[in-house]
Amino acid sequence: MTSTGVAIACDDVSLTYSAKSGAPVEALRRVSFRIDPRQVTAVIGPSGCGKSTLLQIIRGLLTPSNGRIRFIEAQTGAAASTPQMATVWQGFNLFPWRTVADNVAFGLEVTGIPRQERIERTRRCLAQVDMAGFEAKYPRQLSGGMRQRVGLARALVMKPDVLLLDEPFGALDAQTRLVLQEQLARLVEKSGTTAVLVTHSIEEAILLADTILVMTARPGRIAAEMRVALPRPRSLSTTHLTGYSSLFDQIYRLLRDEVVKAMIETESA
Amino acid sequence: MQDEPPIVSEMAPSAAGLLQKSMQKLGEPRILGWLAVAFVLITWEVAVAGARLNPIYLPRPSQILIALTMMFSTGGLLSDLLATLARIFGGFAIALFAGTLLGIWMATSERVSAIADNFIAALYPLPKVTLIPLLIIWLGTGGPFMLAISTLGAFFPIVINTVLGIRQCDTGLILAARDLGATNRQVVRMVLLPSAIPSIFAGVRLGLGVSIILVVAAEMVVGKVGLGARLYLAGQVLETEQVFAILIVLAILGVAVTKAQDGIDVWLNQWRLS
Repeated sequence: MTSTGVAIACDDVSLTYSAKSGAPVEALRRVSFRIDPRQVTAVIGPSGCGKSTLLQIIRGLLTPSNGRIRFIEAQTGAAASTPQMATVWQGFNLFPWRTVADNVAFGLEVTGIPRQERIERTRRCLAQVDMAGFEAKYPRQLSGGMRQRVGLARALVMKPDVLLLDEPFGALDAQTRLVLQEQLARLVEKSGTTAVLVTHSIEEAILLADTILVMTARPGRIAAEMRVALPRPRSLSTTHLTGYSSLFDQIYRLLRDEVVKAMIETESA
Repeated sequence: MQDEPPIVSEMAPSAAGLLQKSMQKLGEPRILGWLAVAFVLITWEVAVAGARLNPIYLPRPSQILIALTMMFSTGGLLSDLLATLARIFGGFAIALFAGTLLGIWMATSERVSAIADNFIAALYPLPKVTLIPLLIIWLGTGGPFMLAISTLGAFFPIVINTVLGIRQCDTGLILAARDLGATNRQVVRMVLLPSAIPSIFAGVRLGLGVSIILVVAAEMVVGKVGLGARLYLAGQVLETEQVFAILIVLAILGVAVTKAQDGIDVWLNQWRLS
């Protein structure tokens, strides 16, 4: 197992950024939570609530205006060093001038992994996401679903302790989405990595997550934290369980008011 | 028209079919283009010969061709051509290196951009031929002057297009690279630069064109060797065939440069195709 048992603590994180025109925007307000190792945590909320921003703060690509992210050794409670993290993006963000294999190998290349190992690990990860045989293709030649498989392989090849998923299936059609959700669920269950999934699909959150954080409309705060006790492995048939529908309704009620709030604000803005 | 008797085509399929086929071939755009060139040259040859025009005004294409071969075989035109090429591509290489570097620097640093912006805004629209007198005062008329004028021509389009290309880079790609552990340097080399290449190459096209113009113009003014110098000299002594011959060399140079650029463009943009 690659997982190191590092928990992520988000302490009182706020982010306000200055917009080019007008008043500064408060994206996140005093967000606190804890993510246990080897757990899948879904962050769900209305559009523009700062959930993707939160992911970038965890990754260290953005610095919060207040508060901080801490990494903790789960057993001892001692401070841990930053774990290996990798992100899968909504817009895929594949390098269009690189082939599939070169895209997947990018992270290994910049961190100085020797060529032979790069090729070997790239090949293995592409096979894991059923993309063997597409090494020499360019992203433009692939469908959306295939591109996101490459995006997933590019993250997995880094052997991340923490996998960050930023609406990974947001740009895909409904059928492709179902297939990839199941595939991802299996991959995460098998590898035992910690995963943080940002989504606005309640179904996706329930199918994939152990814990769901529901966020409010901007400025984003944590409205509720819920455990998903449904049995694994989960699949489409999970949606027929009674536990599923009651959880769905509960989250939906919480979200509905926030979504309406977000819509009103967008219209008045 | 459509009522051509069917018997004819049945009875003489080979002759009629062949004629039709060759007519079709002549109508193909590529061949048509060359046919037009041949037509103009032949008309020119016949008309000048028929009208007994003084070759000082308009020599015949055949005379020009003879002058051209003579100049290459015994007149040392090859060394002039090489001198001109060295000046163009020497200056261009300097401009490509310095221009891309400054462009990257400007695009990634607001301060550098602020400092360089006003100078570029002032110098870019200035016709570079107007700098010839000043450069002669500073550098004389030798090699350094020729390199400087060529560099100046290509530099600005390359800088401006590099800045544009890098600023247009998808921020998602930069985030992805940083997420995968790329340092700032690696982001520049492996993300910003490759994504800006189509734009940089557009600047290269513009810049190389300006370099060619400037070098030939500078050679015409002060050069002792080079195509521009030969052109000017031939004009002064009314060697009109030679003037035409050098114009042909310059035209072929232009075509060769354009074709080479097209080839490089296709090669650089493989990932955009299909």
